[in-house]
Amino acid sequence: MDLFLQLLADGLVRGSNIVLLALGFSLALGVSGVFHFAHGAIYTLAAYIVYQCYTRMGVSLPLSVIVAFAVCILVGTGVNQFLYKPLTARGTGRLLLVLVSLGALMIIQALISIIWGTNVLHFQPSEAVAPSAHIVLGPVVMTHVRLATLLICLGTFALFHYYFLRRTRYGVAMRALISDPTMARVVGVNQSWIITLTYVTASALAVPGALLIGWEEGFMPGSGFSLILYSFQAIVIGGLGSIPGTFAGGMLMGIVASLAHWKLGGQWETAVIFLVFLVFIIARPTGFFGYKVGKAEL
Amino acid sequence: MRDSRFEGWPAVAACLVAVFGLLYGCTETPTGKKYTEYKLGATHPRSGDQASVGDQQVFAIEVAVEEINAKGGVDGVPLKVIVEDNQGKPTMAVTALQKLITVDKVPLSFTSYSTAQLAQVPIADQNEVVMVNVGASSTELINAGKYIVHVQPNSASYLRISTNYMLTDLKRTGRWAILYVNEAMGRSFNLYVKTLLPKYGVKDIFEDNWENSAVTDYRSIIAKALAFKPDTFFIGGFGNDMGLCLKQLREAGFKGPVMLSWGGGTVSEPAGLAVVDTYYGEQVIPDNDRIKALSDKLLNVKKLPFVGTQSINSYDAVYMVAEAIKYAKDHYGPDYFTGPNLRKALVEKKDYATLSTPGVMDPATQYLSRQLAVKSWDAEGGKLKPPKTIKVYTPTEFDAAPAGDLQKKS
Repeated sequence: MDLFLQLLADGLVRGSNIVLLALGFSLALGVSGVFHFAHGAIYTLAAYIVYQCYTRMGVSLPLSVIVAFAVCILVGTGVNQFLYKPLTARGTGRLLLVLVSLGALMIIQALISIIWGTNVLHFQPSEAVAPSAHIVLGPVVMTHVRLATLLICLGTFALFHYYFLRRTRYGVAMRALISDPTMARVVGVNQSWIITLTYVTASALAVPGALLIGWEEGFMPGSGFSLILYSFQAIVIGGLGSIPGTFAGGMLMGIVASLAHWKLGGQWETAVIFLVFLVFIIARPTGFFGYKVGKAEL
Repeated sequence: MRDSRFEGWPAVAACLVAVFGLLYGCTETPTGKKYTEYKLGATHPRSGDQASVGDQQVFAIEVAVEEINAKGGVDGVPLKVIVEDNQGKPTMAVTALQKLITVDKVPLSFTSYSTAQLAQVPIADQNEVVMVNVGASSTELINAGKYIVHVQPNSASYLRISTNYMLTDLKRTGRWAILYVNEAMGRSFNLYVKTLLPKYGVKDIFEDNWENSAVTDYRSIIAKALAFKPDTFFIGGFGNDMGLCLKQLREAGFKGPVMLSWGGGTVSEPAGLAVVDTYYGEQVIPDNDRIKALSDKLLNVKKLPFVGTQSINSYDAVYMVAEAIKYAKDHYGPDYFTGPNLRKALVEKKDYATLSTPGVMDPATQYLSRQLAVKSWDAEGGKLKPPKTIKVYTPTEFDAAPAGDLQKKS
């Protein structure tokens, strides 16, 4: 039982990391209809910007984080403005946009490798890296950073879903576009502007998760790539275009990944995750809370 | 009246041509080949998870080539190394080697990464191209092919001495947990240690693995291992993955000693202070000017806090090959720069004078034997100090390759 509880706690934290990346991904998909895989590279870029400012240049941590937000927002909106928007205007199909987005991810990842190298990096100087302090909650042991990750994830989701999307003008407009873009335009929603704002929001959402996981595990150019694949699975399981679904899907993915170890060896983790994913695709293609297939088809 | 013109001129001309041709052939060498450069290959991870290790290896190779060429190359002929990216993956490694063989026509290639090399071995044997292993240590590589020669000691040697130290010196005879990467090298670590521990009386052994070197979250397998209540851990991986696993193990509350498959900067960088009270086997790195010069270059250019044996072995491999080329030239006739001749030279020559770290070639296993030691880390004032040598073993005590039954594939 102790092992089960520890694995469950670890799974919730893993799920939190997935959710923090998937929220932005899901928002971009729901509003603009684009599978924004480049979001994974923007997530990775956040960690590198903080590393450059804080670790290499000695800038204060809060200012470094602000710079990371600014750069990620710039890159994220740039990808939309210069890639997705013109291609969408030309009537480019969804599959091609997926490839374009993957291409953008690869380019950003390659640029990161060229500028900062391919070694795993940490925010602290390597000779002073130390195991993080941990707290003990009954049978569960967790570091402070991991507990913070869980709480930040819950807080971000709550703030984003229950406040931003429901009580702000722009959030309501985003929901309108997710729900019915044609009707949203009819009632006066400026689709182009809201989509731009969507990418601003999505890129900003990528930053906290990148910093938290980077602090705990370090980061390398490919860090965002594997996580964006899990995020994709999370939003499919949760339901395309559904933010609560993304949250539920991400948490489920994290818990499944962790609990896969309970009775099986470590080599089964990926197989189990994909098995669960396939079961959802077959049994419930709209996911937990997804919209109709016609609206959000793959 | 008879025609007095001589009509045999065509025949005479033909004979003269034949004579001149024969004389020309006799004075020229059979192939007439003159080398303007010695073209060699190298396949290392330049992208992907293992790129940091590949970078060090290639850098060290380039330093060695530069030094040798600055002194005039091998009898006046410079070395040239063509590097291809194997990404640490078997399919890419095979493609990279095939390109070096078919397009660049190299007779020899430096190479690293166990899984990649195992895939390359049949290609090398088929094409009679030598592979010089500078950074792979899976036990599956022992006698894996005729055309593979090893500068990197086998992990069996490292594990043999570190396990011996843990059990006889530190008396860790209780419960052991083995965590390893589920790739050729990691599986060989697991098999070897699992087979060795019972010989010291250890009966309770837990084992689990992580899928590949790209994994960064080991907490689930650590939780499972800790539920087994082990006294000692062995972690077998590449570097970054071991370091992260070790850090997370300490964060989960384990304070006991940990044995590692190896050490170096790629482990201590992610692990930081978590490496204190860990032990690993490694070849002895002598304290000489050449090692210091290489270390300085690696630190200044690649920003590594501690230089590892991967770099030193890559560096020494180039010098070893340069000596072998000279040996082949002096002993095997004009067509000396071929795979079969280079392989023969590497094995026959045995002693290499220009290496930074002494080594003797074992013809039976084609491993370069080195002096080995158990090492560990200390910290002072909250900062990690360079690893220190705890105990030294001579090559005769623990050979480069293990004996008998462990040479079977896992």
